[in-house]
Amino acid sequence: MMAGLMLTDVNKKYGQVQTVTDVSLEIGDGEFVVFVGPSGCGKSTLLRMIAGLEEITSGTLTIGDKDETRTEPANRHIAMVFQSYALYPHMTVRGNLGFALRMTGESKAEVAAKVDPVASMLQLEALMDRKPSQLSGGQRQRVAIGRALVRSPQVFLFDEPLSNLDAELRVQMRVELAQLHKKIGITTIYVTHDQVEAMTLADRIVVLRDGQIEQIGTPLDLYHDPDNLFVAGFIGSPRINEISAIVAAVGEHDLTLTLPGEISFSYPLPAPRPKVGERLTLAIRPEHLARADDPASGAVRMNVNYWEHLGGVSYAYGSLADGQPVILEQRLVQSTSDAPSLALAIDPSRAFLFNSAGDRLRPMS
Amino acid sequence: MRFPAHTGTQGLTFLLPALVLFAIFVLYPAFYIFYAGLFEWDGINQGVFVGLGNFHQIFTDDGPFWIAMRNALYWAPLTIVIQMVLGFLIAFLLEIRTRMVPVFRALFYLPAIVSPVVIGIVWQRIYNPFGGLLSDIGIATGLRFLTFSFLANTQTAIFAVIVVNIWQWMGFSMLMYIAGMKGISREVLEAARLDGITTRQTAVHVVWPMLRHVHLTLVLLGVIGTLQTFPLIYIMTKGGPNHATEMLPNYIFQQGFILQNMGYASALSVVLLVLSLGLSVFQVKVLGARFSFGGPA
Amino acid sequence: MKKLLLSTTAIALSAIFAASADAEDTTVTYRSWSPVIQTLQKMVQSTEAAIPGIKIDVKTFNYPEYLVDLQTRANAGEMPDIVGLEPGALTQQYREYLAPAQDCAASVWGDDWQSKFYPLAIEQARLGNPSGDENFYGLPVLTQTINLWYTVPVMEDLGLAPPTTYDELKALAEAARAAGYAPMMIGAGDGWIRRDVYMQLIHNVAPGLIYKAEAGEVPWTDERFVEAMQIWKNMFDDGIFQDGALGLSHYPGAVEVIESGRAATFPMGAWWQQQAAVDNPTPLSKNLSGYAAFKFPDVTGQGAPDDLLGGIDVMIGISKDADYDAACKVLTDWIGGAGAQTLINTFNDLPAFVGLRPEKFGSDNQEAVWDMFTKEWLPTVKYARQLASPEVKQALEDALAAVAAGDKTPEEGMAMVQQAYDSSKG
Repeated sequence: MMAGLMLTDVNKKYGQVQTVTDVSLEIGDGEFVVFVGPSGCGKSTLLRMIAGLEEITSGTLTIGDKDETRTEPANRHIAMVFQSYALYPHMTVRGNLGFALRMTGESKAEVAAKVDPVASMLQLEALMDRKPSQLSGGQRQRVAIGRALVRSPQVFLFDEPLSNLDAELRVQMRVELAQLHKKIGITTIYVTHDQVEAMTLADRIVVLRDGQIEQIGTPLDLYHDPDNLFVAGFIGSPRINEISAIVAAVGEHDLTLTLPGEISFSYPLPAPRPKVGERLTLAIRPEHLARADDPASGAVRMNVNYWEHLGGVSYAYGSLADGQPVILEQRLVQSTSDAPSLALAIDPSRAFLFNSAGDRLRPMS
Repeated sequence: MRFPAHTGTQGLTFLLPALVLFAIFVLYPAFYIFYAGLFEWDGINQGVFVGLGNFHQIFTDDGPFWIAMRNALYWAPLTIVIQMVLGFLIAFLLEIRTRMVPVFRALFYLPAIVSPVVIGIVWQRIYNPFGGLLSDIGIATGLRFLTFSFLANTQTAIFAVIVVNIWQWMGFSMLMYIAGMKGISREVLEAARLDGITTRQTAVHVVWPMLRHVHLTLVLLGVIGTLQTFPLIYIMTKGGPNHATEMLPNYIFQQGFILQNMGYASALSVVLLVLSLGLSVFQVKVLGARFSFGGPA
Repeated sequence: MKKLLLSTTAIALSAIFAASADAEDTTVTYRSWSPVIQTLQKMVQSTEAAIPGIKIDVKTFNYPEYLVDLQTRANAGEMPDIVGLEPGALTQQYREYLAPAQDCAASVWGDDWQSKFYPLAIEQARLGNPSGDENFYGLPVLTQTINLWYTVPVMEDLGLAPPTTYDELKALAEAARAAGYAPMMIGAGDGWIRRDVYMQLIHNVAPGLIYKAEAGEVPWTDERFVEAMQIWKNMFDDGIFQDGALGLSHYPGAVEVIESGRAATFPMGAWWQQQAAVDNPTPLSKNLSGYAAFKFPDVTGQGAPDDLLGGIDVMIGISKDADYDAACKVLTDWIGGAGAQTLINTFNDLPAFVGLRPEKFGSDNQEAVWDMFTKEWLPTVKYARQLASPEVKQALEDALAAVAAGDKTPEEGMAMVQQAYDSSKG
């Protein structure tokens, strides 16, 4: 018994302060959706509205076929894993897992029948008689997930569940979560500010900023085809390079842009068509920059501050002629180079163009 | 025999101020009252050594002393349990359920900061069957039992005072519980809400057990408070009628200062001291372990 | 060198100041529960004006707290120069710390100084002295009678005269209850007022008997004590006292009801006159216009005694460590001088010193009441209001509560007193 979930024109206001604005979103049955965005973007509020912990000021929430906008949290058939795990500290693991069932009056046998398979799936059997204070962070996390699973929810909510773990454990739990979802296939909404978690876990990512959805898409969609500079900047690591560009000429099929260092650069004509003299931003990911073979031929020059060699990949950190920071990624660098500057080759088909409002200017074609 | 000299003396040096104060303000008075308890002494003039005679009299031939013991046995459990339950309920309703304005918190706490003298006078008036609030309510509503002379009756007087004591310190329990509840993670309560745990179940099965440290504190303070009870009795009933509401401190005061039996009062104080020490040790040793929170089982 | 010079100057200067302070002012300290502090402060002003070179430092407490303060100071060797005392046990307890005061009295009033006082005051001042000890460890300042009072407008409203027999008391109880008044308002939660009433009852049953019991000549279980105890019990059962009396204190519980005009009669004493002198007196208390004193009714039917019970309200003793002359000046001024006049002007209680009279009366009633107390009643007083032994006093007060509450029969109550008497003797 699983279900999709739909938000329609959902708003949240605290007095005069609007924290979520006109969010509409459809999540498919069994889908794993990640809400991502900087802190304060409204992602947790949105999650808590779905859970029922925050009231929905206007708009509707549908789970399955039912309007649950005003339903009590306990009746929404959702379960939530909190950042702090929110385990009951005075109960054993067994007590935590079975508490909700016991309180709704199920018999000992019924409780055991539901708790034991979950405990076994999460490998909690050996820990059943311990209190939360006697568990490691990862174990507590599993108990919290187990407690949610025992209730067989239609929708599974996670509120930054990995942020209290150390880096190594976080990677491990990420994998466990992904496998768990594959195994049980419950519709899952997961909130994080970490784009790596978002990329690795999500079927689809919802990028939020200031209470509004910036873009919805698969991880690769967002990476390869961002709708705006914010999404382009948020997804991908290291961060995408932003190069200021001024429109020098508008041709029939292409634009001539002036890049820092008075370099001319040709880019396919986008729609809407920009005006001569307009300031744009050309964005290109570090991994899509290359060293120009022929340094003489009007290439953008980068002053290198330092190199970071990780073995398989190396990063050059530096700046352009106008001081704008820039990062270059190169694979399999064989020997160190102390050249003070490099010429960069920019592949127009890999570069994104944005107007001054940050909106994507996609090439016509 | 050689000690690592510097650590010993150094440690002692740091302890010295505390030890000196302890000796002056705790040890000396304790020994002094024990010594004084061996005399028939009016507190002023030369006493007559009577050995353990005072103690013998306390345990074999002192009605009011045993009434005071009995009253302490009523007082401690009744005030502690009822105060805890009421204080918890109010705190829970104010804090967890309704998040009511601080005004209510202040109102409930108000009696705890009012002088027991004022409270004693006011409540004596409330209980007064001749024109007191309670009897007026009784007459107006037909609840005739409210016109009963609660303080004048030797069977009910102690309970009438206990009710006032509960009323006075309920707000303190509430405050302690509110402080405890502030320490409970909001997410745990939200988790309970999502789990479909009712408010009552949350109170009983989640919040109450999570506040064990507060319970222990309140039990400790309640027992100490019982053994220290003085002003409320002193103002409301003077220990009467006929010692029915006598508490040990009131009885000690009466013996020592009103009846000029300072030696006997000292002996009673020794009993009180031993009782307090015994109960404190008992609580820390026996209840302490059980009440500790979250530690290894 | 310079330093030395400076410090020498400082010493010289301080010596001069110290000397001049000595020459000008001797400070006499007084601690007590009585008179009330407002009155005391006025007395201090009068006395300091009357006796140059004396400064008086006063502080008052409630009676029980005063006992604590006094005992602590005595033990610490810091006795106040002059101290408030009750005759009997309290005075005897501090006898070793007190200087005999008769020399002081004689130095001021001459060798026949005792004639300046009401006889009862002189007689009671030495209560409890060891036999052969004729010293006065304190001199009486204020005296009192114990009696009943009635609220004039209430009795007028009821159309009744002050009761003189037990039957009239019962009639009063019925009428007062029907009209919503307390027939006899008592805060019987206080031991002293229970005892005051009992003292008047036993004085009606058998005048002087209780003092014989104190001397061991009559047992406390004598049927006459039991009879008085029975009358006490009857006064509760017959509704003469208001309901719940045992649960109320006399001050402030009962007094509040009295001052609000809801009590027909009430047990009190001569000191009730002081209600007229407080700041913002109630309408009934103002100039004592609403109250009148009357004798305890004849509850036995064998005729009420002519004399009232009474005695010393407060006396003052001089500490052995005090500057005797300075202390004596203050003490005698408060008994018979400018300070005493100020004291009496506040109607705090009746004087111990014959002839003192308030300089100003606010109403004819107030003057009539005063004259009745000082001219008719006080001179008749033969027997003390107080009992000598604190244990017996306490036992009697406990027994009165137990009997009133119905926990003990009158016989059992008096047996309690006998037991306390026996243990206090041995």
